[in-house]
Amino acid sequence: MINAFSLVGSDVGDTVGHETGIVWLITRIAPRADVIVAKDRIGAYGYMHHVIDACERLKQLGVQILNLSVATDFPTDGTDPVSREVNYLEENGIATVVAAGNKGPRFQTIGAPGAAELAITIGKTNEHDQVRWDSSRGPTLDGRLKPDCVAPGVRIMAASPLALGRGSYHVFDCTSYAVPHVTGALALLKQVYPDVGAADLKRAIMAGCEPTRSSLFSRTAGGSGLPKCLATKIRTVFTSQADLRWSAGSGRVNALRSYEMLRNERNKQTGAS
Amino acid sequence: MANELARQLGELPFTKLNPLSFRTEIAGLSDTELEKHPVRVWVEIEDVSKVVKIAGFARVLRVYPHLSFVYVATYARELASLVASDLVRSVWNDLPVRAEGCLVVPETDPDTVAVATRPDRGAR
Repeated sequence: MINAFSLVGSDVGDTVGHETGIVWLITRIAPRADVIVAKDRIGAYGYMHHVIDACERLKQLGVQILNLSVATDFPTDGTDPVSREVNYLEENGIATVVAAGNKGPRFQTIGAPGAAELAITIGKTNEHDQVRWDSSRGPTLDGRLKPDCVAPGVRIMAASPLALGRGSYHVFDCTSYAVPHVTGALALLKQVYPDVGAADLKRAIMAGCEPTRSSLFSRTAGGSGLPKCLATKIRTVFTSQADLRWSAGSGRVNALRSYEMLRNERNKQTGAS
Repeated sequence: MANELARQLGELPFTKLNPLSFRTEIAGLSDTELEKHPVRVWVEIEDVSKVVKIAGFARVLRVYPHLSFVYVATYARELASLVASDLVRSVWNDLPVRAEGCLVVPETDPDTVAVATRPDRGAR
């Protein structure tokens, strides 16, 4: 079942063409999940208080998993109001999956709420299983490792609203569309193990990740002033590992491995008791 | 000039203003602009439950006790007195959060594509 409410007027229709595809992806991955859509902005831009008010309302409605495919333009240290709200939701048992943003390849480009310590922050991979060059990189401004993991977010075909006159399906390239893959996976895990908490879900998702392939740091942040061939060589040797660490986190999400990990843990607990 | 600006920005209590872009924006305003520039900010306060009123021309829009933040509308000139208060931990500009960066390419229905690419389809 899909429900919706709006904090910015009575119309709950998708006027941007961003959310329809996200809901479509979640319901394709977890068809039996109930989805509530909160409209917190008219155009592509909303404000922090809109997002926080939407989160609070969703918490009151009893959601268990939250998909936040939004990001600020500026990097933060996770003490901003939206990141704090996400931490608060996680502490109250709501698993929150958020977009890392599309401000790469510079380091320290994770905005809010991606910088929230307890959030599951998602970067994006391309069709070659490499981290896409413009996926936002960590660390956060206070030096923490983010994103937590990556998921497919390049050339993602999803439904698009008829209201925009385009209709049918479109292809999207952004971390916003990597997030619903993980949200859908969490919904499936939650359906199998309803009593599993938000922190355990995050741990299972991160522990189940697979390594991504090195992107060889094809596009780098800023000019170093070195000759191009030399700079490229140095970057390839010294920064590809750092780039992977700060761009992919634990790696690409593998829902099956996460499920198997949770199942094995449960089996051990059952056997022990 | 740049060093002077950096020195001014580095002085307490302006480091309480966040994010950095907001700090530089406010520092770049003239006295007249400061008077007239409306801002909506998040004020982080030690014990938010005890806040009844923010001093000066600040209107409390909402209080978020679980986050220790008060969301207020005021003018840029009031920010100096806000950040000077020992009770205020930080002040965040209410900046845009956006769904951005999506490259959108029109596609036809995936089922239609699947049917159209079957080589034997046109022959029947």
